Amino acid sequence: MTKAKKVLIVEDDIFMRRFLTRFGVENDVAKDGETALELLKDNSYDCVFLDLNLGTGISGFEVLKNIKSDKPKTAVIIISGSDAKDETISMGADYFLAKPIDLIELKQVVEHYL
Amino acid sequence: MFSLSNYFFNIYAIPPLITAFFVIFITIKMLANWDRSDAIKYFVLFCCSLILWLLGFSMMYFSANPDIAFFWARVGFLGVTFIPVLALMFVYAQVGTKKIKSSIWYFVAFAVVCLIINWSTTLIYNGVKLHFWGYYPIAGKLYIIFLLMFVVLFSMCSFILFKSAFNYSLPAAQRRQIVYVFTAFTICLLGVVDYIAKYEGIELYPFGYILIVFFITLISFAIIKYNLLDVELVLARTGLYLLLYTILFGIPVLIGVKTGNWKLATFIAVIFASIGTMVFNGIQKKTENLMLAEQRSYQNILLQAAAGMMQRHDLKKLLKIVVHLVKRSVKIKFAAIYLLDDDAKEYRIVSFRADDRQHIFKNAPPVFSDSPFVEFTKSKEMPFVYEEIPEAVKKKIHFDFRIGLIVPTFALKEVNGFLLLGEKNNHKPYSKDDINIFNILASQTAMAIENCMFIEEFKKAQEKVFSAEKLASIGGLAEGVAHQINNRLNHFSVIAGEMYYELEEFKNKMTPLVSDQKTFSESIKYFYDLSHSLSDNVKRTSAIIKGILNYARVEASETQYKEFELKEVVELSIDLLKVKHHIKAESLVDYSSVGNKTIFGIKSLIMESVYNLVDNGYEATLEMKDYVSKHNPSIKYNPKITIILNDNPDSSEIIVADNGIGIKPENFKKTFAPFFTTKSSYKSGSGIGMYVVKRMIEEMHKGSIWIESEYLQGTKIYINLPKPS
Repeated sequence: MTKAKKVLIVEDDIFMRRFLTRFGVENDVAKDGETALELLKDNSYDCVFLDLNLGTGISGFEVLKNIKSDKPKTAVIIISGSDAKDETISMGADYFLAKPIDLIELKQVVEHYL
Repeated sequence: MFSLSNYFFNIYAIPPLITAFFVIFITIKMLANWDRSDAIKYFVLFCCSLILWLLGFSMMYFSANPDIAFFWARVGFLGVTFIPVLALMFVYAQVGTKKIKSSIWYFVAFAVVCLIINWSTTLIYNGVKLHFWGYYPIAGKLYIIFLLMFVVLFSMCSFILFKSAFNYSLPAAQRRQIVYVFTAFTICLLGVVDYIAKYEGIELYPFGYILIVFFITLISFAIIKYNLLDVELVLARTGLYLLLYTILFGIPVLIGVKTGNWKLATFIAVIFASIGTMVFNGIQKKTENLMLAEQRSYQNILLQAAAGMMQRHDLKKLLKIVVHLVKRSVKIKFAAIYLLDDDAKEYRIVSFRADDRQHIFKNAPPVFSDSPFVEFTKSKEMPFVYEEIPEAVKKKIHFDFRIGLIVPTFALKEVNGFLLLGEKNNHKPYSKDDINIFNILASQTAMAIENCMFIEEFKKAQEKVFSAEKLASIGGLAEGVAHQINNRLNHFSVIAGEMYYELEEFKNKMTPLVSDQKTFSESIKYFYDLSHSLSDNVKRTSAIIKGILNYARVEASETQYKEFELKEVVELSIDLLKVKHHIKAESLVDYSSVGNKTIFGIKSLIMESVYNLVDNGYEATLEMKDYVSKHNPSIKYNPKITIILNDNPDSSEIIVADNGIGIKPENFKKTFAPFFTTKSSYKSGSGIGMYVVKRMIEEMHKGSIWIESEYLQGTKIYINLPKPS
């Protein structure tokens, strides 16, 4: 596992947020869409772990749209309990990881994108 | 005595001889129908004494000299002496007197005494005298006593019968029987002529044997057959006939005698004879209408009701109407309908109406479909009165109410129900006409019941077809539910992940410790296993939920006609199959040839169809597996379901083939029938699957579906879906 990347974790679940910090060298976390967009304005990331359902406010879809229009090179890995694979991939997401996450799949994804 | 020269051919001996043979014939018939009842037993004994009398007297007529004739007269007396007493015994049994009165044995003893006296003295038969009809006995000094016994006993018979005919505590049909027997005995009283003929100076031809023909015919019909015309009608008709023809022929004869003009008399007789039939028919119709007015009126009501029954669609209401109508219009004590419960194999009261003792009907025990009563009903094929049931069958049925008429309804030769009718309030028996009317009513009711059942089943089937609509709400929820569940399950995944990575780090940091301490490293390995197991279980749980929810979602959302890949619905169906049967279906279903080929259709319906076919196919392989392990355990059975998609220019052909148990030829035609299933009920077989599939393919897609199958070989189901032009 090459830990040389800067990662943004957009996730409202604290448990999951903490777990995902294991994979980046430098991790930024956002628990809602607004924070995520703010962070994305000032920083550039190699990879974004993005949850789609972020409670009220800005949703994961909008964050994804924003990333893909501003910084299309950023790899976006969607992590969601909803079945929105087709939709997000067509919006430009690089990978769709369904919740509950499969640890082996996660490992492969991390190795590929980080 | 046995020399032919002692006999001559006497034409007058022939009628009694024929009568004797007739009685023998009837006796044999009665014995063949004997239901161990006392009535028939005494009747047969009675017939035997008649036969002895008739044969003895025929031989007497044939005799050419007085000695031989006297011998045969005494032989005949062997029968004659017992005739009255056996008649009384028969009557007692007929009216239902359980124990024959002891006084009757005095009469028996008396008959025996008479027999001895007559054989040894001339006190009863004082020799024979030659009449124009042959030799005939002469009454002796004590003959008057014997004559009195005949009159007394036969009068007793008539009196007992007359009394019983109005005893309303007896069943109606039995009372009708008694009326027949009473009529017979009354006619038979004329037989006293035979006794009187024995007195000297009276030249009266003893025609008693002619009465015997009537007597025996009436009684045997009364005992064996119940469904005769009403006795009143027969009597009325005969009386009318006699009266009319006496007048019609009496007038011309009178004219002939008075005027001596026989030409005119003949002319009038011819005219009368030709109009006689017309007049007779006219009067007969009028009388019968008058006599049967009441009966005719309810019969009309019932016939009209029968015609209107098909309009009814609610089974419960229909049955209620039937019992109500029958009870009210026929004016009977009760009416109750039993219907067959196919699952329980028994008939239960589903509707009844009664004046009193309602609880008896409410708690009436079921009648089992293999009971002798049902067998008997099946053999009758017509409404029948309770008394027609053989004694042996009667003993095995227990109805707590007195039944008058039983009206079975038939569907495909099977008794699917029966209507029990109580006795009429006016105590009249059910007539032949009644039985005909009830027969029409029964067949109409049977059709109406079928009609109702079909409509009810059809409704259920439609509910099944459109249960997709209900699933829509599940589908709408599916998205939210899936998210909720998956987020929660994700926690377990995260815990498993945390555990795994924590252990990994720990191992890397503490390598010496871990590798040195054996127990420690074992514990760590155990934690690894736990982590994997947890992650594994989460994955499986998620797959199950995904299978159900995906299926539900597609059903709910994909209701538009469009082009899609068959593979998608095949995969969803297999997912659901795995969930339903807790199996790993990876190698079971081969759909590799389907590839990415597309079809046109309504995705949710095609999915349900494919799922049904795959599910049926899988269960067929289970049955085959059972079969093989039972019959050929050495053979390795490899269950297989293959799905093929043939893409034609204007249609798509989907084939779902399995190597399961196949369809038995006798079930082949019923495959698409609603509620037909060969699966035992605990295996969730509603019998609706194939019916629904057929409707979805044929009605919603204008496609076609057909089956090729051979028992023990497998089944291939073809679906042809037209492409939009």
